[in-house]
Amino acid sequence: MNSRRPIASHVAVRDGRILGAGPLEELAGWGAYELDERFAAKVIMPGLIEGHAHSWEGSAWEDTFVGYMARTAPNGVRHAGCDSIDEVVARLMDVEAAMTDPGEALMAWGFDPIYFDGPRMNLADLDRVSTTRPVLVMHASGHIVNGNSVLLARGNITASTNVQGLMKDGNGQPTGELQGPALRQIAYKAAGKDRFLDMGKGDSLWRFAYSAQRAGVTTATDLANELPEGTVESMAALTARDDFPLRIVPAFVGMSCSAEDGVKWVTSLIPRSNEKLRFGLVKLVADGSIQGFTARLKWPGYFNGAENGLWYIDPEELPQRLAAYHKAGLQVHIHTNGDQATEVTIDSIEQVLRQSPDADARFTLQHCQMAHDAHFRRMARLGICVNLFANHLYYWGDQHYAHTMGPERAHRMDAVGTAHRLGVAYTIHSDAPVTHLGPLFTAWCAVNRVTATGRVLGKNERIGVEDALHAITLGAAFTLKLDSEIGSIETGKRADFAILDDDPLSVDHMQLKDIPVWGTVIGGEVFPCSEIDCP
Amino acid sequence: MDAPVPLSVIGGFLGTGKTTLLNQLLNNRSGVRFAVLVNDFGDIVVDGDLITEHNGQSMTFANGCVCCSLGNDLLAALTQLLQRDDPPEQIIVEASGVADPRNIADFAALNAELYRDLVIVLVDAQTLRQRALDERLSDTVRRQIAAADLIIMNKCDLVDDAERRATRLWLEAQRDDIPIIETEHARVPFDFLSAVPPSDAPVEETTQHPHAINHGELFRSETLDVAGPVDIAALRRSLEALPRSILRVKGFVPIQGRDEPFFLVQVSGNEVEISPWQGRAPARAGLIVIGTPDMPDKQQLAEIFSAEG
Repeated sequence: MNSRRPIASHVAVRDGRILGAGPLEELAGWGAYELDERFAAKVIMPGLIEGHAHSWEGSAWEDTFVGYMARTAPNGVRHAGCDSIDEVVARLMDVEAAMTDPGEALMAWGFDPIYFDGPRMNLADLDRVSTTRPVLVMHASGHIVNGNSVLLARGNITASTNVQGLMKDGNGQPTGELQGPALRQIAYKAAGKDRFLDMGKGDSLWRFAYSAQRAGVTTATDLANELPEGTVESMAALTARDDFPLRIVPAFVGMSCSAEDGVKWVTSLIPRSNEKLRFGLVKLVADGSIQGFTARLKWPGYFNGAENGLWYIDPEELPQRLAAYHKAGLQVHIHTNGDQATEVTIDSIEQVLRQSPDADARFTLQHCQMAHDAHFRRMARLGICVNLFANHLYYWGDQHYAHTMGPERAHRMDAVGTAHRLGVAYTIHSDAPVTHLGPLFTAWCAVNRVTATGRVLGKNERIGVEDALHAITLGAAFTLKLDSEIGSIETGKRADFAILDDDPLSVDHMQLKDIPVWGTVIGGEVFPCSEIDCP
Repeated sequence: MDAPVPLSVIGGFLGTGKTTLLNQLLNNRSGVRFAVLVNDFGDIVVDGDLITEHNGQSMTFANGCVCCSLGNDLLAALTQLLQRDDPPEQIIVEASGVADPRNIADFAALNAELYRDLVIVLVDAQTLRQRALDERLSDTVRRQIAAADLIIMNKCDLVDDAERRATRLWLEAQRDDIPIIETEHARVPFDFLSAVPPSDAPVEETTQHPHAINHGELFRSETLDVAGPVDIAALRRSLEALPRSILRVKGFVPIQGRDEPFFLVQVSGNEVEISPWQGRAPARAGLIVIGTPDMPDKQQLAEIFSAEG
């Protein structure tokens, strides 16, 4: 991905960095060398960079996966998708039968009923799994959970519980579906766990790193994390180890405390960075999700008539928070799903840049799924980067077409082609564990724009394979202000590589996602996938 | 178990006066120990000598109140408060401008140690209708108003009379079922906000006026004496049947067939709470009933309670 030398036969590495790439006789000029021919039959790419994932990808796999799309766990086990409630129940029954501690809760994640017609999951479904231990199924949205009768009893949730997110049947009895933050927290407490507090702790970070390694990823963001002291300590300790196979760029959640306190905390973390851990990034969240109908849309709103979504930050407060972090020299990424959220965020950034001009602030809009040409034009002129959620095209493209955005806007969503054409610096992402971590798959989505049922959404928005590969390497590095260190194979950069069994530039573009990843190299250390030892 | 602690939520956009209101509660001289949970206590203003402790996460005041930063884990923050050696008598949580305040009130509804008190929404008389016309904000404004048990229309001193009336009419068109109080500088009579009945002084009959506003009486309060032990089921029925013009009931009542000398009674919005009282014995039994000017008078209230009793 070095534009002057896109293809090379050899790469020379010293002290964890790249001396150069080119023919052996050129590289020999650096002095004595040891020729390592392990990858002679492989393709060495710059280490892939995932610009929007979560360390939650690691903790999620402590629970049983019940998502709709098949997925590979960090330990390499492939889990089939569940395409009905019955299949979810059957899988949970199998897991239950193997559990030894009778008091332990059975937790599952990734349940995605947007794909299912018919009745919603209810108490009877999960009571088939167990009537003695709590069973908790988290939906893919992260905002809704289903429980069994034991879970509800432990949480003291009954027919007389009067909160708006408690779904009840025609007889006033709870159905087991629990919506909203209060019920979700009570449910987790009743199960004796709190996954959200576990984010970024030891084991889950290992799993996160192994998921990344399997995908050829050498640098991933954790976007975002509260970064309490305990998490910072375990991140610092693990990333300092030679055998930890991932560079992590955690973003601080810039909205759970005052901006003043946030600036202080992030600034204090920067010196605790190391070669595989980089503090300093801040994330704000403007709105919710499109498939959850919580994204903020401009007129005419949701295709199915659902009411407009939710602001997660007051639009009038957004410029103030942005300004506080920006003036402290911290880079900010902003989650904006709906086009109204995108527009309000661009307005806010423009206002901040007028007060404190900075031609290279690299504010980055995350997801930005509904932006149209005018938004991209403004982003290009304001120097705003974008990280588009290309995986959505495959995962939920059909739902966007039919329910959320309708055909025209579904064709325009995640407009990678427009970003490219209008000169916006862009990358593409998985938001793992929302969708699976795998930049080659994400590139495949941007190149082909095919939905799960095979419909092509917005063929004019497709980009070429080379551009997609740039997006998942240098493109991502640029949005993290790390493009001088990683993202390409050239003199002086870190020796981070993805080792592939096949050449992405020569396979059929529909096969891009299927290229096997042999492993990674990080700072010259080789990490074969075959040696992953993950619980 | 101790009587559950009432939890109220204060919602409203930036600049509607939430912090001003919270400052008044924290500085109250009535003796009620409030705990106030805020996102940012940069703007909390307290006389310097009133603060007895400030550790970055919470401030403790000489009057027994405490102000804590909310963080991202409300459940943990609430649990911590309830486990204090001197747990608060009432909790107020500040909701961010765009949050649905009911989501926070739900935490109280789901916790046996808490009692869901009022969802109070502040609006700025100057900007409310403008925000309601703004495509980015209008539905959020309406949702917030739909969530309220009580609306405080603040900054009425900064608009002229016609504007004030128009804003009130707009609000009444959204919600004709809840009290709408007009104020300036977020000055709201303390009795309206406090769910805690005074236990150390005789219950005084009062008719309070909000400060400095002369648009007539905005709410009334009546006190009812309770002669002897009452039937708990009948009392609950009476309380649940109260008209919507009544915002709050609080007081102490002896209950038939129970050893405890007093039960604490709290009603706000649709919530009725009757629980054994283990605190300091009140001076006498009785209920304070607070509502809008058209609420039943003392005689009618007495009938409501005796009819069911």
